[in-house]
This record gives sequence, C-alpha cells and structure tokens, in this order.
Amino acid sequence: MTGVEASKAGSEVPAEKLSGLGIAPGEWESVFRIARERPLDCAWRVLTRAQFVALVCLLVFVEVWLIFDFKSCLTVLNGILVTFYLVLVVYKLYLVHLSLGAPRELKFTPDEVAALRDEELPPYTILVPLFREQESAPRLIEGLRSMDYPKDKLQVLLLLEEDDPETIEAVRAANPPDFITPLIAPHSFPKTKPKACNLGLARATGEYLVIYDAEDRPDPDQIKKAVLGFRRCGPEVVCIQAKLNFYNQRQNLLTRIFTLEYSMWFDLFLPGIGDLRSPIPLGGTSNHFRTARLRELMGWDPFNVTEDCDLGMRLAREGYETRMLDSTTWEEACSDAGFWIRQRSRWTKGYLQTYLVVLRRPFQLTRRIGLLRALGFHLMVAGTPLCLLINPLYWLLTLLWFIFRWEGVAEFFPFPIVLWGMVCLFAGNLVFIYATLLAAYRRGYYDLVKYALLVPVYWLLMSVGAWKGAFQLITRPNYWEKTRHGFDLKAGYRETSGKEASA
Amino acid sequence: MSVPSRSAQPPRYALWLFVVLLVVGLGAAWYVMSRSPDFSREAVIRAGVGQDLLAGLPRGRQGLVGSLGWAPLPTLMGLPLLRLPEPFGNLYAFTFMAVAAAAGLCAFLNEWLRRCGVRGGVRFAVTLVVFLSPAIQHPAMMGSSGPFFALMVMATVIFLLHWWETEQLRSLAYLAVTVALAVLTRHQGLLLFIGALLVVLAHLALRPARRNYAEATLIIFLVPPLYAALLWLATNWLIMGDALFFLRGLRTAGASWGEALALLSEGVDWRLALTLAALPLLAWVVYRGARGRRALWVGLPTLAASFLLWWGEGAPEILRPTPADEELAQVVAHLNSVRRHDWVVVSGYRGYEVASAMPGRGRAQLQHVLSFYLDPVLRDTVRRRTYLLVPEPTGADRWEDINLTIPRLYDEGAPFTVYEKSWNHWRLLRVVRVDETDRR
Repeated sequence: MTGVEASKAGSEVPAEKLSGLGIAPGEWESVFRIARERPLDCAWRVLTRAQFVALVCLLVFVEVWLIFDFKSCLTVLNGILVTFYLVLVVYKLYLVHLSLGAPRELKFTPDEVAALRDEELPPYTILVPLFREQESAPRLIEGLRSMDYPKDKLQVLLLLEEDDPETIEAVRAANPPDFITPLIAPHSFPKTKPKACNLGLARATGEYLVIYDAEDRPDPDQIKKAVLGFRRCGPEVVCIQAKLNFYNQRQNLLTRIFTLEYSMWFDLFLPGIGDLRSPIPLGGTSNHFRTARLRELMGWDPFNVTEDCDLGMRLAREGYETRMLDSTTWEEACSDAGFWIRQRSRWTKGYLQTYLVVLRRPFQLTRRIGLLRALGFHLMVAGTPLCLLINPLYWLLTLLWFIFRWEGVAEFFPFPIVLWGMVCLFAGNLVFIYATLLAAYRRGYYDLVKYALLVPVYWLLMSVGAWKGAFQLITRPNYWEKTRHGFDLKAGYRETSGKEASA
Repeated sequence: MSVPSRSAQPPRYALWLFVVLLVVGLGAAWYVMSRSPDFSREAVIRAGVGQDLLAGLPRGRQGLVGSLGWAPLPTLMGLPLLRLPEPFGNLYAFTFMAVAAAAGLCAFLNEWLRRCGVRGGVRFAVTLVVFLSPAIQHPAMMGSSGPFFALMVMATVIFLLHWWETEQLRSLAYLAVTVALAVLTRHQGLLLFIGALLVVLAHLALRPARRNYAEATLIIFLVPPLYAALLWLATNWLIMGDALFFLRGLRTAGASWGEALALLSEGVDWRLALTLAALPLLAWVVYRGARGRRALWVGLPTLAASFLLWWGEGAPEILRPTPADEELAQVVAHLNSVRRHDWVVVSGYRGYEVASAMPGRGRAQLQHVLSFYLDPVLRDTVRRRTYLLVPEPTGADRWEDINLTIPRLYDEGAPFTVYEKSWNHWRLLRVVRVDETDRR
C-alpha cells in the first residue's frame, strides 16, 4: 500500500458526516497530508520494501554465520551490543554533566514575564486531544480558565472523538467559556492522538501553538514564557519544549519512581541534548510551536504512536531546532502497573517506529545536522528501547555466571569485550542509578531520593513494557495503547500543585 | 560574598594547559626512563596483574581485588594501554597514566586559582612549581598511583569548598565520585572519605536544614563511595570466596585495631596532604577577603605552600613510590643458575616482581602463585626439585601470602624445608620430603 492509499484508508469519511461535524473537507484532507505527500516520513508501514529486503538479508547472513561458526558470530554480536551499551553510558553521563552545570534551558524571571504587556502578546492556540477523559474534562476546563494569558488572544481547541459521547457530554456539562471550542473528529482509523492534533492544526489561528493533555496542569505563566523564549531565539527555533513532571508523585511506589524517571529525562537528559543541538525527542505534551512552520512540516504523523518523538526528528532534519523551557507542566503519573506497561509499550513501539522511519533515508539526518549530533539521535531514539529490550538477556547471563559460574558465558566475552562489559555492569548501572538520585535532588524531591535506589526493580518493569511494544510493532503497529487517567481521583489521592510538590 | 564562579564550559586554555603539561611530562619521563628505567614496585606489580587479567588467568582476577595494598582502580585504568608496545605499553602504561594525572592535577589547580582571582604570572608560577616538584615528577615517572591519588585529594578539597559555599548539586556529586575513586585507588582513600564525610556532616549540622534535605544530601554523598566499597567486597566474595579476603593479612595475623589503624595510615605524609589541601583552601579563603590585594594575598601564600612540596627528601611518603628491589638482580642471577627443570615457587604480589625480572628461560621454571597452598608444592617434590623464595616479613611483605600461611618460615624454616641461600631481604629454601629430612 502506498502513502496515497494509506491516506485514503484513513480519510474515507463521508462528506455529509464531515459537514455535520463542522469540518471542511480541506481540513480533513490535511490530517493525512504527510502520508500522501511524504510517504517515506510516515509510519503507516513499519518497513519499506528496501528495509524489508535489507532486514531479510541481514537475518540470513547472521543465520548462515551462526550455522558455520556459532561462537564467533555470537561473540561479534555481543561485542557490538556491549560497545553500544558503553557508548550509551558515556553519552548519558555527559548529558548529566552538561545539565548539572549552568542552566541549559530558556529561563525567565517573574519580572520578565510580568513586563509583557497584553497588547503585545501574539494569538496562541492550545490543542487538547480528549478521548475517554470524561473524569478529567471539568478539571481541565477549570485549569484552562486560570491560564495567565489574555483570553481574547487564546484559542483552545478541545479535540474530541465522535465515538466518545461521554467525554463530549462532560465537556458540554462543564459549560466552557467562549475561547474554548470543542472540535469533534469523525470516527475513523487510525485512532491516534496525532490524527486529532492534525485536525486541530488545520483549524488553529494562533501564531504559536501548544499541545496539552487532558490531565495537564501547566505552570500558569508557561505560555508567556514560551512567547519570551521564541522572541529570544532565532527563527531556526521552531519548537520549545516545557518540562513535564507529575503532581501525584507520592501516590504509590510506582508513581514515585516514575516521577524520578521523568525528572531524569526532562531535567537531566533533554536539556543536555538541547545544549548539544542534537534532535530532541519531544515529550507528548507542552511542546510549543511556530504554527506556520508546523504546517510546512505537515503536522504530526497520524500513524506514529510517538508522534512527538517523530516530529522532533523531522524538525531536526529540516534544519530547525528545539529548546527546553524552564517551566513545568504537571501531569498525572500512571499509578496502575497494567496501564503503565501499556503506556510504556506504546512509547517503545513508537520510538522503534520513528527510528525505522528515519532509517529509510539513513544519511539525510547526518548530512543535515552532522555526525556527532546524529549519533545523539541514534543513542536516544534507538538506544533507549534497545537497552530495555536487551537488558533482560544480560541480566540473565550475569546471573548464570555469578550463580553457576557457567564457563559458556565467559567464552563470548574475550578481551576487550569483557573489560567493557565489566565497565557497563559495574559503572554503567551506577551511572543510571546515580543519575536518578541526582534528578530527584535537583527537582527538590528530597524525600524521593531514597526511592531512586529501587530503580533497578523498575527497569524490570520497563523491559516488560518494551518487549510488549516490540511484539506490537509486528502485530499491531498503529494501535494506540490508551493511557487511562483519573486513578489519582479514584484513589482519593490529594492533589498537590506543582509548587507544593517540589516544596 | 560569592565563591569562585563556575562557567558553563571549562575554559579552553585549561585544556591546552593540560595538554602542554602532559606532553612536557611525557617527554621528560621518556627521556629519563629510556636511559635508566626505574619503575616503581607498584608499576611492576600492577603491570603483572594486568597482563594476567588480559590473559584471562584466575591469578589476574585474584590479584586485581585480593589486596588492600594494591587497590584495583589504577590496574583497571592501565589495562587498555598494557597491550601497546613499549614505550607506550607494559610498565610505561602506568607512567603515562601517572603523568596524565600530574598534568590534570596542575591544570585543575591552575583553573581553581584563576577562579579565585590569582593573576596569571603568580598562577602559572604556582602551577609550574607544583608540576616540576620532585614530589610529583618522581612518582609520575615511576608509574606510581601517587599523582592520581594526589589529584583526588585536591579535587576533594576543591569540590568540598565549592559545595560548602554554593550547595551546588554538581559539586556534591563530583565530590562523592572523587572520594569513591580515591577509595578504589589507595586504601588511604578511606581516610579521605572519613574526612569529607565529617565536613559534610558539619555543614548539615551548622545549617538549619530540613531532615529530608539532610538525608538526601547524605545519600548523594554516600552512594558512590559505598558502592565502590561494596563492589570490592562483592568481587572478593565472587572471586576469592570471602568478601573480606583483601583484609586477609589483618585478619589472619590477628592484627589489633591499633595495627589496623597503623596500616591504614601507613605511608600517609600529612605534610603533603596538608599542602595539597592548603593550596586551594588558601586561595579560597583569601578570595573571600581582601579583594584589593588578591594577587598578593593569594599568590604569595600559595606559592609558599607549593614550595613545601620540595621540602625534605623531595617525594613525600604517600607519593614516594617504592623503587624496584635492587637486590632482586642478585636473587634472579642465582635463580637462573638452578637446574632447568627445577621449580622456584614464589607467591603473592612480590612474585610479579620476580617474574618481571626473569623473562625468557626463567619464567619457564618460575611457579608464580598468588595464593600459596602447601599441599601441591609437597606433592610435586616427588617429581622435581622445588624451591621456595620467601621475602622477609617486614613492612607490606608481612602480608604476603607465603608469610601468612607459614608465619615463621623466613626466620626458622619448616620441617619440610632446608636452607639453600639467603640475601638481605630474601631467603631461598629447598622443599624436601620428610624421609629426606630424616636422612639429614
């Protein structure tokens, strides 16, 4: 199936239905524009024909090698993986070093924010995709009302789904003010957030645009800070990513460690990546864009389940840059292990999807941003899921060796692989545990620091999610594992605002 | 009041200074060592352990973790270079590392003084004085881990000072990692750890901090050094079957607490430790005070303090490497004269020195074991004549395995040995079967 066919498959909605929902045919067409006009940038297919052939050739080669020389083949594969691990450890250590130094984010004082006059502020669009979020809707609308931005310059589009009457009803019941507009997308496939966002992009009137999730609580002055950020940066900066963190971090053990992981990602890794000018895998929400540039880029890929990460890569490939903003959006940490694994599986699947999409033109990114920055992309986008996938294998090998002293393991670790392996085992694990400790401390979550020592157990859970995602990449590549929200309300967890949380 | 500011990136000239000092140091080391090689006992032993590790021998793994005296980090750091041909590999690997550490120490000191406002001339004079002092150059050329340990001492002081003033997380994290590296470099690192811990505790006690903050700060500080110590214990348990094997000398010889403490502080020259701490401390203290005469008030005392490094015999004890054993040449000459198929059993870390001095023919008959077991030795005397080479049990040699296994062997011999030959600090004993002893 070609990109055009993919676009057709997604966009086959009767015109009467579209007009009934108040959507112009052109707006709906634009939702699948990337699949139609740049099929190589679209994750509709996991692999292109060329990638499929290359993969088969590689597998055949490895199999033949295994048959003829089992030991050397496994030793070489092991060497590649261990080397990769080592480079990843060093890279992430360097990111932490960068982030712990001088502030790497765009930072603005309250005085700078207060000095902005309403009349000089640009029109701003907020997109909020909602699907089965009836519990969150009232809270969301209340939060949007309290945003520190002139309401006459604010356009909020609540992106609803036709087959989700409960959320539609909840939004109506909350009686949203005029600047908040519900926009109902017709029932169609794929059922993904980026598809809804593209519809919102088609309707957006703001000079800038940001996405928030239903349960998000951005710092009230975040949009103003983003405006200041865009003014401070040159036109090459098309996206500003705010930090994400959780307001229910102390709900249970899972949310505690999840919070630490998020803090590490958004406070230590991403600012470092931004400083190196490597492509930033965007977070799912709170990315602020220049609307015109985003339209040129054809918005999000509706078939990619981590459309944020994919967009970050496309931005870099087109020569645009992303900066981090020192402002936080508070989200709900998934507190249920089952849903957490589903969410993680989607992230892993999406990262792999994105990596395969970029690999369709393997040298394009390198040509555009240079070898070292492209290396950053490979390490973050491929390295993160790959690590989670192969971790269990190495844990098993380590256990086998330590418990049974099985010499068969040692055969695949000749020098210098054994040396690098030891560095990865002993220093690498410490680096990741320590980075988690530092992230908690830096955020001011002093009481959570001790929980960082439990993070190896959490890695196990991450690997479970990663393997689920990898299998889904084969069986259901475009399926969106929905993260359910509102567990904090059901559990009677008392909400804390961002400031309370970090106090 | 502020502390020396930390710029986002280290100034490029600090890097250049490091490179220049490294090149100069390596050039000088190559010039000196190629004419009269004088590697330290530590370099010889570490090179031996490293070569065994690279060869995949169990003895290498045991040698890496099994001794308090030869902490594992310098050996591990030398591994990537050991396979290179001389003058880069083997013993020179440790010279290279030590010179790099000395250059790093001086570049780091220079950068700290710069941030304290010391003017260029005085700053570079201090840097040069420290770099060229025998206390630094001597152990660097001989491939000792002393300069690396000195770097850790100075870095600890600098990070402590910076953290004390700013409470910056980066300084605290680097402090913790530096102390952890020091613990894995030399056993005296434990004293550094205790000292730094006391300062951190004092800071937390003096500051009205919340409990969570104090707890988190302590965790951040403690995790790297404790992890390093646990790692050492774990590897001892895995490789030697006893988590405390590296303390074997202290335990099996029934050492008292006093003796243990004496061993811990053995080789610590407080003069050097104080000098290395005083240099950054002086600069920092004066920086906080007299701004107007900074160059004078900072420069002169630091210059004076750095001259302390030249004081005395040149190389203070903690850095002064034990030179190669000159007597070994005589021992080896004798060993080379024994019959070709005879065995000379030498044990422990000193065995690496003997092995290093007996390349070629000698190694074929030299049986170097790290842990000494009597039974196999007695069993093998049936087939061949066997000798035991025993170092005098003084200083660190009292912890050598053969002296621990048979405590009075050097002085009194054993029922299954006969005296063969003696030197000042070595004794060669021939192993005999009991019936043979009876006949005598």
